[in-house]
Amino acid sequence: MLEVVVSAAFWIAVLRIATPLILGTLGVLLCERSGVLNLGIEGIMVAGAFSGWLAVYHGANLWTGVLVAAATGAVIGVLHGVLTVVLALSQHVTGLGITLFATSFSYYAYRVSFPKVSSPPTVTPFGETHLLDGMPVIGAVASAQTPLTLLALVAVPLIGYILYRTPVGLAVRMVGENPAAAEGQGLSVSAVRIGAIAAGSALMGIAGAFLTLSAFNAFYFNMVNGRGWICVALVVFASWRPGKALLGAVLFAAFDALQLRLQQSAGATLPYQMYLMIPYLLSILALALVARKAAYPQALMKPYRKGER
Amino acid sequence: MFTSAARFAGIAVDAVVLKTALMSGALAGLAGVGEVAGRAGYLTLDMSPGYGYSGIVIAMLAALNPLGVVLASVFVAGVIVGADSTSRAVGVPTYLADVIVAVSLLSMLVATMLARYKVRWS
Repeated sequence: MLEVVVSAAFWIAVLRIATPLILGTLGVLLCERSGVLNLGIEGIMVAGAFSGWLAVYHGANLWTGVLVAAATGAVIGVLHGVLTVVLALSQHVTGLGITLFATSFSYYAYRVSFPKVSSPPTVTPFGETHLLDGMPVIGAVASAQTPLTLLALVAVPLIGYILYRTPVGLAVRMVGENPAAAEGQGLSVSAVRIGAIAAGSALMGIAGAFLTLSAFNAFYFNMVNGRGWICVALVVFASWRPGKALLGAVLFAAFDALQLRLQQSAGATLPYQMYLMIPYLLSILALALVARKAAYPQALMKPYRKGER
Repeated sequence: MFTSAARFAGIAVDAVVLKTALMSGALAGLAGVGEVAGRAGYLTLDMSPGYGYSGIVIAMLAALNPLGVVLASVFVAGVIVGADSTSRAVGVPTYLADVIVAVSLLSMLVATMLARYKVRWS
């Protein structure tokens, strides 16, 4: 087992599995830091995966596809923002409604565009970057990654910097902790929250696009497969901090990559579903241990109505 | 909804929440065994095409009223069965059923919220 964990192939797989989780977790983190739960993530990832892939399939550049996915995410995010911030609807139920809508609409649009295909139509996905070829230790792992993985790794310190070192980040954190005080400072709580949800949802869209434009080369049904829900849990595990979100995503991915290898290892007598459970069991355990003392944003899931005490 | 008021009135809030969760889980389990033992008679991995999520939608469509659940379930079942026949007859993808259910959920949420306001012509 030790030679598995120190092999380059293992860490290449870990980073590949972690990429959509990192981007998705940062997206949820942005939304929740502004005080809004976004359970639309699962559907936004499906919509991003589909729209980005469709753009590339119709001849667009790969990066244009990523932009299309981000824009799709942002549009759905604004819809979620209008429903939960302006109309102050229940954030749980609205999020699930958005997920159901975005997922089924993407599947519907896929079936309408490609009514009778036996094998899914494909695109040429992102290739390996080979940016850090020849670097000792991490060179082999880093150069086998696609550009979106590097984008996700760069996004972590970037989001951290924006949140903790810029006026925009301060505004986002302020409306998530004490919206009345933010309003007193002349900030528009609704505008900041909707902006944060749109930006977070754009990241979720890119997380989806990674699946169709980088990890695979086609759009499949059920390809997001619960990754969005994992991101929601990872944010709690990370205590709403970008650095810990990266740690949580890589940890989850490591357990996922490990269970895949345990399944294939000789002498595996348990049914493979038992191994599939391992990363999820561990995330429940980690949540139970960490979540108790997590300092969550004080205004999370509390809609803000002007003038109300 | 009013946790602190309930606690003040002497209601054991945590116990009530726990019992409600147990009952809710038991009902969901009954729904599952009904599908396997009553309708299908055998167990497959994909026996539930998202019935759990439909449950959440139906609860909201019924405005959290147990009697309304009957009406809302018949509505959602009608949409699903109707989408199946439409798919067979003219080839519209069955995913349209979920789109309709999702849109009706979001519309219901907005409508319930707006119903709390009063329109005044001034």
